Amino acid sequence: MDLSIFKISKYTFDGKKSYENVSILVYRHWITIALSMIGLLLALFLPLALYYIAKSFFANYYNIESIFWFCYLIYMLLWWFALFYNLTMYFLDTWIVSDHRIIDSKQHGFFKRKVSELNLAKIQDISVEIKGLIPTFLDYGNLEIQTAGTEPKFVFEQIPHPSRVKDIIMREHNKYVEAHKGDIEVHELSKPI
Amino acid sequence: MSMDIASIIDIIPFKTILAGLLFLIYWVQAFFIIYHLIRFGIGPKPKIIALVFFVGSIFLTMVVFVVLGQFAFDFSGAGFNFSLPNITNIK
Repeated sequence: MDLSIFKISKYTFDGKKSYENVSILVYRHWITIALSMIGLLLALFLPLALYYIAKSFFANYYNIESIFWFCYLIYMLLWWFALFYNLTMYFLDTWIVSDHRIIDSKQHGFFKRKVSELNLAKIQDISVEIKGLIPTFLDYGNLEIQTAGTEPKFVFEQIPHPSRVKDIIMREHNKYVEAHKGDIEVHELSKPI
Repeated sequence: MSMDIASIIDIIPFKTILAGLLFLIYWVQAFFIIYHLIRFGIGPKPKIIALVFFVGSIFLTMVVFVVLGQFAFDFSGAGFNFSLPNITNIK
């Protein structure tokens, strides 16, 4: 049985070109999901707390133990789903920096997905914004890429180590510009028509 | 041949319908999560998460069905008198 997809990764994605190499894959900072995880953890124990409070009040009147545990199991099933729904949205909200382009992939619910890309040659300016106490301590923030003309900015939101990512993008941009004089895709020139 | 509401309710397999509905709704949603993680997830992390979710879902579904199997619904009495035997007045 081949279990390689769980161990190694070539960082393949939809529309990846054969000559394209992924330099960095960026998710949002873990703190952005940690808050919802804490909320979910509280939601897991809240019914238990309420049950034990209710039990202390109504113990003399009703025995609700078995119905509670049955309902709690169904609740746990829903909780399990909610937990992984959050994780799915977190892991599908990514930015890919390859040696040819930057891809911004956003998932809003199961059936709304937005993918935008930017050619490295179109980068004009990159700025990093780290605002607030916690972002400063944990080193996360926004990275904005200004493109040519009136096109909207390309924004990496709440990413960890934005300055490091900026350096990687600049390095890839310089390499790309060096290798693609006149913005001609050299890899596709050699392809037979 | 006359059938009152109570006897009709007795015939309807509520537990099976409830279990079927629960199973269907949950696993359709679970499929969406697993599909998205494997189809759109980049790198090994989303695949590992999909596997953990799948294994956990199987385990939880099995536990819910086992408990549901042991649970008794009592639809007896006049009209639609829904009562659960596990809620007992102990006073």
